[in-house]
Amino acid sequence: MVVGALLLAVFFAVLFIFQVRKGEIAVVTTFGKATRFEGPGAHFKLPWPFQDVYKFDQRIHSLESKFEQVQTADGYNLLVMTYIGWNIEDPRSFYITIGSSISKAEETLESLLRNAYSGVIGRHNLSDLITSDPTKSKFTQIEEEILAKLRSDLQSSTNNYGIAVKFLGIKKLGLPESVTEAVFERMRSERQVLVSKIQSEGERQASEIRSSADTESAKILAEADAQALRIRSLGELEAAKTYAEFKQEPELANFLLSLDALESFLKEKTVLFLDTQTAPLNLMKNPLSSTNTLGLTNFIFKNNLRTP
Amino acid sequence: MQRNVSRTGLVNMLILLVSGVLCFVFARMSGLLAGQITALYLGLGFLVSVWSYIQMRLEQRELLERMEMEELARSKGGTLFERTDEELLVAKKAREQFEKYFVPGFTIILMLIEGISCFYIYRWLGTATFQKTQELIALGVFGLFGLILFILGKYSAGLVKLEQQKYLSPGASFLLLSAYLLGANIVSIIAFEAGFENSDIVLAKILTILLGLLAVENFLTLLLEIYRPRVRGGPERILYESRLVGLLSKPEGVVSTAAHAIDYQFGFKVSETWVYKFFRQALPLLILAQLLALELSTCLVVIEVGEKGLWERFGKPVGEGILEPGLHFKLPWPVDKVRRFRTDQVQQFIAGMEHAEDENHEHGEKHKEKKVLLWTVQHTMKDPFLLLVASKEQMGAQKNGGERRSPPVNLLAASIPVQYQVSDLFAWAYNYTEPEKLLKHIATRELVQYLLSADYDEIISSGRLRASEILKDRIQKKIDELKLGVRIVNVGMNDLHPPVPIAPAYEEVVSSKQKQEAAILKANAHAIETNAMAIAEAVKRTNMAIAVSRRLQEISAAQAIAFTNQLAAYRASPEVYKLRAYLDTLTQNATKARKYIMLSSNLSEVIQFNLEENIRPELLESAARALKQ
Repeated sequence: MVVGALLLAVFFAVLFIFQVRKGEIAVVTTFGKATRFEGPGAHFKLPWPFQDVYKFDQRIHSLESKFEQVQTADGYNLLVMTYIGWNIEDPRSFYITIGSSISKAEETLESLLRNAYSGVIGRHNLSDLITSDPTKSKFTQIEEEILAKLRSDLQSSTNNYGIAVKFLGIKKLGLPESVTEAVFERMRSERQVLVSKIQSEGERQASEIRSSADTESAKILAEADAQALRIRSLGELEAAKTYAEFKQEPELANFLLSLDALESFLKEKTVLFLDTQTAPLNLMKNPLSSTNTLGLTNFIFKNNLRTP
Repeated sequence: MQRNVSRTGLVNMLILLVSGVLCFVFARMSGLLAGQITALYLGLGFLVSVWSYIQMRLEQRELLERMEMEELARSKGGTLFERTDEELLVAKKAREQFEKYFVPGFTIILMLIEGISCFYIYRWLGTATFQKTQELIALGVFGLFGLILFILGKYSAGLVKLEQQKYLSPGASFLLLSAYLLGANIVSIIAFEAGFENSDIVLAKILTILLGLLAVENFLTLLLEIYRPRVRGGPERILYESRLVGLLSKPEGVVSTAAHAIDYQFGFKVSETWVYKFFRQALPLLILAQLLALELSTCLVVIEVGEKGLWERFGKPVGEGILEPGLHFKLPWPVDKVRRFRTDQVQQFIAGMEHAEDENHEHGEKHKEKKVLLWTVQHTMKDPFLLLVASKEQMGAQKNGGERRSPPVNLLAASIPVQYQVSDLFAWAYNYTEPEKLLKHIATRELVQYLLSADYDEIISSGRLRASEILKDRIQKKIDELKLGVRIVNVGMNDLHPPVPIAPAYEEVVSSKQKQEAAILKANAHAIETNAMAIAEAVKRTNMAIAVSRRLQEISAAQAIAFTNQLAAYRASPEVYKLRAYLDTLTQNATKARKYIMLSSNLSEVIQFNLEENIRPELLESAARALKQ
């Protein structure tokens, strides 16, 4: 019995009382006609079918558009996604034109939004959005233009939706897949150019360093050779001072020098061709002759000969 | 009376079919998920009532057959048919065959329908979105059919009790259950109208889970039927009749249903014990006490550390409206409500690409694998969002009239974690419907705008920290402007890199810089070595020259002194001195030289002292020519 009474009380409460939360507004319709608006709190209503209550969230809703392909004035294809913040400013107009469905309102807004951004971006060049110089970027200006276009479409005399768009932003900018591939290819080529530049620069620097080193080395050796030559000539100059002694008997001096030279030759690996007229081999031909001369003219020698 | 029962079974069957079809049509039209699932229950009730109707008809035929046989036996006055009457009872055999094969078979089919439907409907509920339209018409239709089903169900249940017509029972249970489910649908629609937008989906999920439970119950019934002790002449229950359906359709008989089930399964009267009697009397009070305790528990609110609560009474903030961590008292639901928010805790979202997390589900634990993040390996979601960055080189080329091929942009993969705290709970909760979503929109927008004019090479290397500071300031400024009630704690620029397909090209640049350094270092090493060797060689040559010079001077001086002595000897006998000197030189120095002696009388004859090696012919000829001359 008690349970039944409690359930009945709950049932009547549900039928006759409704709550509106902060940030919401409720439209009470009597036989389908909007008769009053209620703010936050608990309120009384007649049960269905006499009265009906439609609650609208008056906080700012976020709506994100699709990531859609558009074309810029200079013929580039871009993918654009925008977002807006909107709220129900006039619940009566909203209820009349849209009904009670937020998703239906969002469908309407998205359609208007697509129309606005594709139209506005189509009037601008790609460089207005994407530029390496931030001072020349018209990113914010384009957002403002899209917002202005959207607001004007919403507030046109024929369609008063009861909606206010508070702000708009471009959330994403992208490229279609085929264009993305082309950009990838170009980026790869740019990197390849950079690689070649770096490598050739490295090779150039290395070559410069090597040739400088070789030049420096050659210079050092040349200076050393010159110095050696000077030292040798000074030595010869000093040695020449002793030549005065040889003037006493030049023939003997020449003979002795020749002997020295011969001695030097014979120190190396030498093959000698001697005929029997040459001393002392002339003894082999005429061992008893005492008149055998040196026979130097018959002396033949050959240096550094190697037999096969 | 038998005809009346049979007609009732038929009417139940038809009403379940018609109401099932119409409820499905109206639920579909109105976008009511729970209504569509209720129609499935009505369909199941139709199948069960068809089967029980067939069983009932077979039993009626058997009864008629037995009566005829008894009449025949009486008229013959003997025992002519006593031995063969079992063979002649065709209707009895038909019923037995039906119960032996078709009843378990139907129970299995019923179990499969319930199980498979539960699986697919639960998955469908995860994705299904229906716009609620004309739900009040559906409410009227549900109310009408609910009433019809309830009256018929009660009537059939009464017949079951009075006439002991057990075959009406499964259909009657489904009629009553369907009536209650339609009632639940009506409550759900009213709740939806009252602002509880999730009421329909919640009811739909409950009904789906109930379908699964029915399938499990059928499975257990089949299993237990195998091991149940059979008492000869004892009551046989209908295998496909669900106890759960019976319980839900007759909630007042919870304890008795349970007791009957135990009685049936164990073969003795549990319902006559004192425990059963106590629970039967105290159950309503226990349930009421539980409900009261549940309602009173809504008066207590515990706000955890790091959280704050928004306290509302009939939707309006109470006082300052914010509850700090601790225990708080409030009026019971639905008068007062408290919504919790994580305000002090630092929360995070990703602007750009989401990371793909490697999850290891071993031992039932969700474990994030720590791995190395490389530019060349995809570590974000499969379809990454690549950000655009202006290409200075390409823009310059196009300004100078270069050929226009691809847009003057570079692409950058970015995954930027943004950490934030709720600083103004009122603004966070009451200004926007989805503040987290808006925050993500704003952060992504600022990132996109910043990168459009950024220096690509700088942003992926030395410019990260600066970019992080700039972005943090820009996002904070924007959210302050929009009064979102959030403080940005950090913007991490730790995952900015070229897209995976071209990352190897970037690595090649780095590698070529290293190669450049290596080539220069090698050249430097060569230079150092060459210079050092040159200096060493120069010193060697100079020293050699000094030595030669010195030797020349010394030898010249010695020769001068020796000449003075030799001059005296020479002057004594010039010829002898010269021959002696010559022969001395020859004998002292030519001992090791190979010698060929040419005979002047026969120049072609050669005497070789050393026979180990042959003289080269050309050498011999040149020697001969010299001798001739």
